Amino acid sequence: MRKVEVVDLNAWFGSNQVLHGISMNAEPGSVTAIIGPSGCGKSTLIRCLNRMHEEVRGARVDGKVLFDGVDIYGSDIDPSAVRRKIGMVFQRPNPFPTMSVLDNTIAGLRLANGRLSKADALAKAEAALRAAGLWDEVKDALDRPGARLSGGQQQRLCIARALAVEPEVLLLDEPASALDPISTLRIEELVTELKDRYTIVIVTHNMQQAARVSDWTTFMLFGEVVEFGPTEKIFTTPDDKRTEDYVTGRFG
Amino acid sequence: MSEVALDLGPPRGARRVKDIGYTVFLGVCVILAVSALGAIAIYVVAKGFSALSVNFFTKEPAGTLHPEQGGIEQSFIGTGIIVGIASLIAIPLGLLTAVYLAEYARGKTASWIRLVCDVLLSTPSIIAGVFIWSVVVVTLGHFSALAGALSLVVLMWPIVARAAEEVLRLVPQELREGSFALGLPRWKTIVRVVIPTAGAGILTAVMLAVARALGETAPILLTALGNDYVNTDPLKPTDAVPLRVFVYARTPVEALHSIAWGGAFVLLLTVLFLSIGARVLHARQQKRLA
Amino acid sequence: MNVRKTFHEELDALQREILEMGELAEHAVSEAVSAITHGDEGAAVRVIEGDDEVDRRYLDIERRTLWTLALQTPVAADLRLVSAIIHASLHLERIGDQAVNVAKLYLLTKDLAPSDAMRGQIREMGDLVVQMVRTALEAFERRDLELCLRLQKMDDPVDRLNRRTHLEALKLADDPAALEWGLHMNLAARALERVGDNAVDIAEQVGFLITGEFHEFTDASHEVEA
Repeated sequence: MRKVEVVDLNAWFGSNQVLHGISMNAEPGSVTAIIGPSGCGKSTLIRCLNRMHEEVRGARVDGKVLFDGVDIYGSDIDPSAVRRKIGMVFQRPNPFPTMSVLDNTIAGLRLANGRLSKADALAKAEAALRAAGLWDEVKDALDRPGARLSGGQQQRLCIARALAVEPEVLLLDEPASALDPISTLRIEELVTELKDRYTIVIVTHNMQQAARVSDWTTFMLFGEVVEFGPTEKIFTTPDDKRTEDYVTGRFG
Repeated sequence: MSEVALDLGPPRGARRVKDIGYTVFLGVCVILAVSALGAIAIYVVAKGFSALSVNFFTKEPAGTLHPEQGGIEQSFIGTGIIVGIASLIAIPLGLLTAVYLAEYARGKTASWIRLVCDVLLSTPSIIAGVFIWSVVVVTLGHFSALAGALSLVVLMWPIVARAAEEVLRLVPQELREGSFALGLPRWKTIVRVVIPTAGAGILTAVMLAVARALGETAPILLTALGNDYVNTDPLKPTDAVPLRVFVYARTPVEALHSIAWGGAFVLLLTVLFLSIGARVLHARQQKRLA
Repeated sequence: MNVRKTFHEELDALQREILEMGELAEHAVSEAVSAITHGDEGAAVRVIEGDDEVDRRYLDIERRTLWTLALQTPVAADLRLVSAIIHASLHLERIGDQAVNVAKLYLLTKDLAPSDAMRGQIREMGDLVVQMVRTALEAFERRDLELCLRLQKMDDPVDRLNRRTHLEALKLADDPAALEWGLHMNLAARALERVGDNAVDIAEQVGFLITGEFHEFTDASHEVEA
């Protein structure tokens, strides 16, 4: 079964419609990239996948987003529960400034449940930090403030924080935009390692990144999906001329 | 090669003079302003320091024969009780208002609440006193520390609410988003992420409100009345330091004047300490959020 | 710290593919020549059937290198490597086709009487070109420039032998059956000479990969000493 399936999704900011009839999928154990020029709606789309879009005042959503076949916009569904299964990492690293590296990593667990023994906390933090490729760099500095790490490390900390909650889907909204090129490549390598265990959707304005990292690619323009297919196809023989023009850089 | 149309302005020497002139002028203005505070501070310290003694803090006013041997113990205790009760009420109320304004309120409602806050902020404190007098003192039939505290709440609440709201707004939205994305509901995000991050800033707001409350005289006069003796019953008339300073200043007794200066000195010191502390905390908070 | 592990692993895999394909091509040439020199019909049939595998690998490498170019945007040595792989796979596929030609030429003439002299020349050419292919692949695997340059010298005796087979075939002009055999073997010799040229081309690609400069080792428009 498809992990995430978007069916005829529309979204508004107030009276301004930004997404028109979006349909796309994310297969389990794969990376799906969403690319397109600025303002095409890719960030809005990914924020609809974990119900973050509606946190903005005046924002509205219509349509279905199926997670394991269940519509996350169902009337009896709690958005917080959705977000525990569908995690998100943002463009700019946002570790909690009052917490240490360790506390940041398990923040999602501790703030939700409260009771977490020291041993448990350490074990879960280590697992998450290893998965994010950060453990070796911080294992002797777990009590340092999370905000004192370098940019690339902070972003991997945010990834670890998201993974600690043990979601099934990971949404990455331009996760490397604010990072230097080497940190960017590390994040990409991390995404490739993570896709075995998670379903990943990544928004990126960097086409080459989408080419390097994803199995499926969605090309968006003016709030619509123009083409959705295997990444090799999109970058070697796309169906739609607009896709071809975009990936070859004939229009930005 | 083109004709350079650069306007080189007035000659260097003239510019220099103008520069120095302005700098000196501004410097003089600053000195004038600072010296006003300086003069007050020096005067109060000079006059008030000599009044400080153990008796000053631990004894009630003595009789008319030896007024210099008395103290204003009841004023300190009274101020503690009145400001204490006021803080217990105003700070939580103010914080909750700040949270509501910063995190929940939309549009019209928020504007109205902010308007009320701003009006109260600039209300003359005697009006707060008169209002509480007519509502609480008249109803209860007597003056009380509680009435005094309530009149201070009217003055403290808007300070806490607005200052704390500003600090909460300064907490970046991306921290809230990060918390939501982990599956935490809004109220938990506010309590466990936003407020701790705003931490020092909220403390600053509280300190500013308390500093204001410590020095109020007019509302206390109309609501707590004052007392020559120590009183710990909040429902009875109670003394306060600024009130005592006011009363003693109007007597013809020289020894009591001296004690009044002492009271003024302690007040000044406390308010100075709170204000400077608030400023230091504020600066540290700015650094952390940068 | 390698931040593009997946990409570089794919490059390593493609390089192994080339070497494996090379072994298959080399073996095909060797078997085809053996068919002629030992009259082994089975060997000829195996060569023809085995070419499907060579072609399959060629298409697979084509596809994967295209994807690598599109998806990974290789630069510097990585880019030269991909270019070398694309060219090498094409030349190896040609070598495979030439081996098939030789095998088919044997099957067409298997019942005709052979000339020992020509058979000897064919065998000698076969040994030489198989060695050339092996050397080119070794140069590729080891990134050995000296081996690359050796290929140029190895090509000269092959060209000379090729000319001698023409002369040898003329000697058979009196007997029609022998002549028929001889002319076919002439074509086989030319096919083997082509194998040699393809091996040199591979070495040129490896030279480009190593130095970043492209030099032609042999050129059809220039004279070769007889």
